[in-house]
Amino acid sequence: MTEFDRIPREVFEEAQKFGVLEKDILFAAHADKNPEGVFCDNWMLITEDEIIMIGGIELVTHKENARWNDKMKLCVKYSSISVNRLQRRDLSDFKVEKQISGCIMTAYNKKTGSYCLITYLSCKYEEDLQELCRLLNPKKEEHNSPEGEDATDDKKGHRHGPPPGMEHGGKRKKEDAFCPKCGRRYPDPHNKICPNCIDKASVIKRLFFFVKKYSFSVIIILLAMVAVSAIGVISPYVSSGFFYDQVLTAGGKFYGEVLLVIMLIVSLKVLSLLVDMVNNIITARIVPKLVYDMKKTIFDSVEKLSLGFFTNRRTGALMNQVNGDANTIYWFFVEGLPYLIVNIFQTVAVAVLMFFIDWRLSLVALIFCPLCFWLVKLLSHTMKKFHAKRYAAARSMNGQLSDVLSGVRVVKAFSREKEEIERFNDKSRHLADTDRSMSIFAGTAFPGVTFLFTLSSVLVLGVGGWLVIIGDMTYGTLMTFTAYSAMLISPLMFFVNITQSITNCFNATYRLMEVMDAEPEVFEKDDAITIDDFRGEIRFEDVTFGYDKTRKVIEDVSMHIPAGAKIGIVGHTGAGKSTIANLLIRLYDTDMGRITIDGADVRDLTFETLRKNIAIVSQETYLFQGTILDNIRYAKPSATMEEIITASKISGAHDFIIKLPDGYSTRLGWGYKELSGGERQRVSIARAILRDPKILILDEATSAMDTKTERAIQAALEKLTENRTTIMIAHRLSTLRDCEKLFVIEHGKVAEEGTHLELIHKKGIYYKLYTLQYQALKNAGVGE
Amino acid sequence: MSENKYTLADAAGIIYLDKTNATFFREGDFIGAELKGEDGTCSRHGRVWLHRSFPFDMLYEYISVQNKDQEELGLIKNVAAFDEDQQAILRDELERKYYTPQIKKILTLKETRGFSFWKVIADCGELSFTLQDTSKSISRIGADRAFIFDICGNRYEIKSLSGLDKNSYRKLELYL
Repeated sequence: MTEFDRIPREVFEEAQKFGVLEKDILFAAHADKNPEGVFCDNWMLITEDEIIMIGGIELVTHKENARWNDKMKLCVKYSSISVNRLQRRDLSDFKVEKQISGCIMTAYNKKTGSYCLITYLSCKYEEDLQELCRLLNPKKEEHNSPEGEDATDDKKGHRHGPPPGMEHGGKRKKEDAFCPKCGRRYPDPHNKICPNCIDKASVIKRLFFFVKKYSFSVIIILLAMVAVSAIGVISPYVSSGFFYDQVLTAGGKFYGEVLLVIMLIVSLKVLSLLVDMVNNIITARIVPKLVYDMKKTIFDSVEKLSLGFFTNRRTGALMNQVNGDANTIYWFFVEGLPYLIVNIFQTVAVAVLMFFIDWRLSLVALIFCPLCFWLVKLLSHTMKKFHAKRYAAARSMNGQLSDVLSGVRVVKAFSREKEEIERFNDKSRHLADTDRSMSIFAGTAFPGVTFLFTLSSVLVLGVGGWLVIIGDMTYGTLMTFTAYSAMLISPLMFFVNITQSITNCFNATYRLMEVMDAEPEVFEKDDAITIDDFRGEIRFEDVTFGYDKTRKVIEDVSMHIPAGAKIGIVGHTGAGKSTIANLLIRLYDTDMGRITIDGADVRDLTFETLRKNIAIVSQETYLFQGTILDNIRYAKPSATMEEIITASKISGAHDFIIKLPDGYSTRLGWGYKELSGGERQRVSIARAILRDPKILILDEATSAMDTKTERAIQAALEKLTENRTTIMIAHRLSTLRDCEKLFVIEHGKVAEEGTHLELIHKKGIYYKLYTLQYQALKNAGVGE
Repeated sequence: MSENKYTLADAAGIIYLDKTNATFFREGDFIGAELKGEDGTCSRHGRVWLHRSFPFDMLYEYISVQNKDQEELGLIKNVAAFDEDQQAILRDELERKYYTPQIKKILTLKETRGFSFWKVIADCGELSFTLQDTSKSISRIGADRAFIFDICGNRYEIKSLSGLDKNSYRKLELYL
């Protein structure tokens, strides 16, 4: 049985009531709404003939026969509230359709000749039920054959196995979707991290893994900090209690030796300064190294990940945070952790000393502490809200400002200046309001807390003064005590604020771990092979793929491209043309079906074989910062200048490069030369040509060029494409006229294939597209 | 002069559907349509899909009717222009598709490690869901309305932020 979720025993027991035995169940899936749209646990049990849906709820009840010493007196019982039974033979074309919130599972009812709603579900179970639908829908050839609707036994094995692609090419197995600890689903099944169960200790361990290398320095830093704190704690005693009682008071052990005390105080300060300086030097030396290590580890992991990781919206946002996160951790190590250690040590030492000096006064001094701590925490929380509001208001105002400034042409063209000024004023006013309330709050609440502390010092002074008068305490002891009680204020404030810093650091580490632990979806097999005699024969066999599981971009695409052939792929925008190229170079893996090159599955080939023999020039030309030369040479660092110029000449880049004052040494990128769209495309074609690949993919590579330049480049490429498999993807059909074969992609499927003339005679989609473009050009007076 | 009469609407070629050229009917659990072309030819579609053009403001106006290939068959300017039984069919289908749980009360909202875990009472009962990047997952429509998108892609609505009880609002406030 293929289980899509963990099925409770009670469901099987419930099913047994209808005569359905566990052994007869082929698949079992879970949805969180029933066919009436009510939120409940809806279990779908699929047997050979039936789909049984048991909708129910989990009831928390008292355990029967529970003994008084039972730890768990309650138990969870599953109770069914609805049962639906459908005959499988009546249904076909199972599908999961997305609604505005959630999804529905539908099927075609052959008996009534209409579509029926099987069940509602939330998006959480969408992927599971999509897979279930795939298993329930007979394969195409069976569907079309007369016996397709009543699959025979020998075909069942084929139907009931795990869906193709699910365990191939690195896709996760079903059980991996759940956290083994709490049984909850992972928010992102690709990153097997459960935010609920993440072990705090493991995060800290990971953080200290980076520190391990510098453990000697870290120990010295810790010792230095303890020394600084200890000196800090001794100082008030020397300068107050000792000074007044032993030096200034007649009869004291060191009476009159003021110089000695002054020397002692200065020595302590100098010692503290020296230790602090050593500490700072060591910290300054290891922390940047630590952050460097961290960033390097992250970047190494990121580079290994497949493209799917980056296109995922969620992880895309994650990436932006990585740099900021490393800085958060840096600040925690530099500003947070050292002071945390110093403050903890100091607070404990001071409190102990205070009780040692006089327990009655200590109680008076500490009486306000819990109240102040609680107040500061409360105020900080409110301040956090103010900051968040202010941040949102500022972001909104800045966003609007940059929007209007960059779109100033449009504003002027539609004469909307007045409205834009009004809109800006609104945002600006909102920011000013937020600022004002924040300042008023900060300006009144925090002095209030400080006053409470002052009150406690005054109380200490009062009680202490009385103790001095009645002779229970010396003047010096009182001075030492007040000095110590003042030392408690700043650590208290610090502890309140550090909690946020610790949380931030912890979250940052967690996010870094997420990136570091992410496994690439597309990976090279351990026993991957290389092809020595690479010819470039490509076959797509029933390839299905979608960037997310809910939407198939290409479906059942099959095509054969002989070695050395020049073929074209045509279709509307969004038809799936570029996806075909992405799959071939294995930026993604197919969901179903396979792609072979010279008979070998691309998933079995080494990345080196693929990258060395296939070059792609895509729509989005990306040029790195650096010179034009660097950019062209990126494909082959060992290329000679002659090779580079030859490649540029073929791509038509040479002609414009040579006209630039700095020629091939022209610097590109931010603050330097900006190339036009067509020029960029020519540079990237040169880059691809330099590779001298066996398979060349030109994905709208000449779209930003004028027809004349395009023709010239094509003529030059013509010679190059001999004995080389060339795949040309284009919008402009004139580009593809000379191709040996054209594939027309429509809605992710190969709708037509043949030569230009064959397709024109066929009068299908290609003919329509061609006549449309031809007509448009003719109308514009460009006629070809 | 006649050329001047060629308006934007003509250029767009939108087919507006009303009771004169369209009849909707229930077919299985969904709806189908019978449409009459300008030349009087009838076409029957076993299942049609309805899409709101302005799903936040105009719930029953400018409804696009599409076939299974997601091609627009026509646009309903206003559902009210149909007979009552037809209106009921259209409204039911739209409500089913656009149903979004309405959050009435936020019971708990806990944020840890960039994820926030919500337990709410909605019009359909108690629900739990998870958001990542909480502020970005809440989008405000106008001053008083908000939509929340969870990590799986489900959507929840708060019809009136000011209508929420004080405790619920306080939990949410930080992310608005």
